[in-house]
Amino acid sequence: MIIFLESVVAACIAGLLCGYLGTYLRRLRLITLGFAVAHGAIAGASIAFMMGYPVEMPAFLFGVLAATLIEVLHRRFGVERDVASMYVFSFSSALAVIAIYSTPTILLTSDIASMILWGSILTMTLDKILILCMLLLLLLAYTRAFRLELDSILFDQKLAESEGVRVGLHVTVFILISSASVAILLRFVGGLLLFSLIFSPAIAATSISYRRQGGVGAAIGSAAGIIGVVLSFALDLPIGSTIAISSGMLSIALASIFMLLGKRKMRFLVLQSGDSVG
Amino acid sequence: MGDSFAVEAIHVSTAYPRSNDVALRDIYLRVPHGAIVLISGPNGAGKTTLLELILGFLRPLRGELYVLGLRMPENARYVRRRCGYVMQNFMKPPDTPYTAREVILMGLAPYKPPFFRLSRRDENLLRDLAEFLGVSGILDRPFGTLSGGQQQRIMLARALIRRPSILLLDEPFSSIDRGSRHEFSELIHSIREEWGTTILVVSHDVEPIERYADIFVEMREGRVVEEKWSS
Repeated sequence: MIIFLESVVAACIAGLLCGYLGTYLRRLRLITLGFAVAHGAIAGASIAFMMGYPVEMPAFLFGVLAATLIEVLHRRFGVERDVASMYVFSFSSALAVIAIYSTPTILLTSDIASMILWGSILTMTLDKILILCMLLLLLLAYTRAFRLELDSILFDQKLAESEGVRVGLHVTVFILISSASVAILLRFVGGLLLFSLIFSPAIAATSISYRRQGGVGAAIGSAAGIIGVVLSFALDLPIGSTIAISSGMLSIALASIFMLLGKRKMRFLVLQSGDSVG
Repeated sequence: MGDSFAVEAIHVSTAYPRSNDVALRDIYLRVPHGAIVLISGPNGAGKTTLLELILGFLRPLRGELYVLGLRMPENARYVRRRCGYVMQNFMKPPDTPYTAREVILMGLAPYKPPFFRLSRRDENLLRDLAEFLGVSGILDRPFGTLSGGQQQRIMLARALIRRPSILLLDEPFSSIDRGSRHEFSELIHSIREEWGTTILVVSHDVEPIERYADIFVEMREGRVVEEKWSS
């Protein structure tokens, strides 16, 4: 029962964190970068696993390393960020496969490998829940403190840069928070599936809300996390896959409903704009 | 170099990063403080590139560039904070999640501390500016639902709330109808008269702003082919 409650609380906070973070990553056009960071973290965790070390810190460092590599390719060599992300994704996946392949068979057949790939409810301890809470609070405080600068970047990145806003600094902060979140959640949700908890609520939030996308993304992520844990316990399925499926299904369902309602919303906006001049 | 000129380009050539083509060649331009400069020329002449050079997005490969007396691009961040820039492609879709008021206030972003709250002074400035630009009635409307002309004025308000020393306008007449262009030109003129702001206007359409310009710069293929001073 305690494990179940801990998992529900962890999934709820993870969903809030990933859903909220995802809306910013999407609007900053960092979705593919986030995807590559998640796979960089898998590579780091796999290498640590092969060498018998704890996986969290290497996962975080490899996530940051993946993001750094993408930014270097993008800024120094003019490679498009999406293309650079896909390159890093392939490279990270290859590293992870080599690390898992090189791991002694006894370890490979244990539960630890499955935790990296599809998650385990047994990995979410109280100290990790506290770290997740701190990350969530940090993210909320950060986005509140720098709201004006972040809004300016989200409105138009080039214009913000031309006005002297520290675009690079803010992007770096989001990459660091993403890497830390992925590293903590890797063994809970699983590296391959974690990204759906970031991506799906963010996409749905776009269709649902005009102004409160962060809050909507967080709410969907949180609901998906809780439903995923309940399904995992009820059906005895891997928690990563149930969270990924509930996140995807919930997001698609909500987005579809609001897309239909959205036509009404758009008509309202146009009517509200009144007479146009000039 | 002193700061007797708002912009001083001394035989500057530049290129976009990782490009083999020179985008601007041997630009020699001196813009005094408080002048209105009209930069015209065909597509691909380098007009927008010149604005990007002034803002420090491009590095001079040859020559020297000073903006507000500061060498560029070394002082780009400081210079950008003292410039107001209205880009050419600023139009946003209807679902852009910001009101006109929020878009204007974004102009204050680089100057405000964390957890910033709007002060009475900021509110007064916003109100005065909105009245001056004739946008008081649309401040609470979603930005994306405004007409091209209204969005143009809001973007101008965003640039002006920064009290810029230099205002850079890229094709300001492209999104407004012919009838409103003269009205908008008068607005640009009154900004200079009111605040003494140096204004660089890049435009295909020279006619609306012609009578207010102090310096006419004609560009072609990355070069200044003609520079005239108003008598």
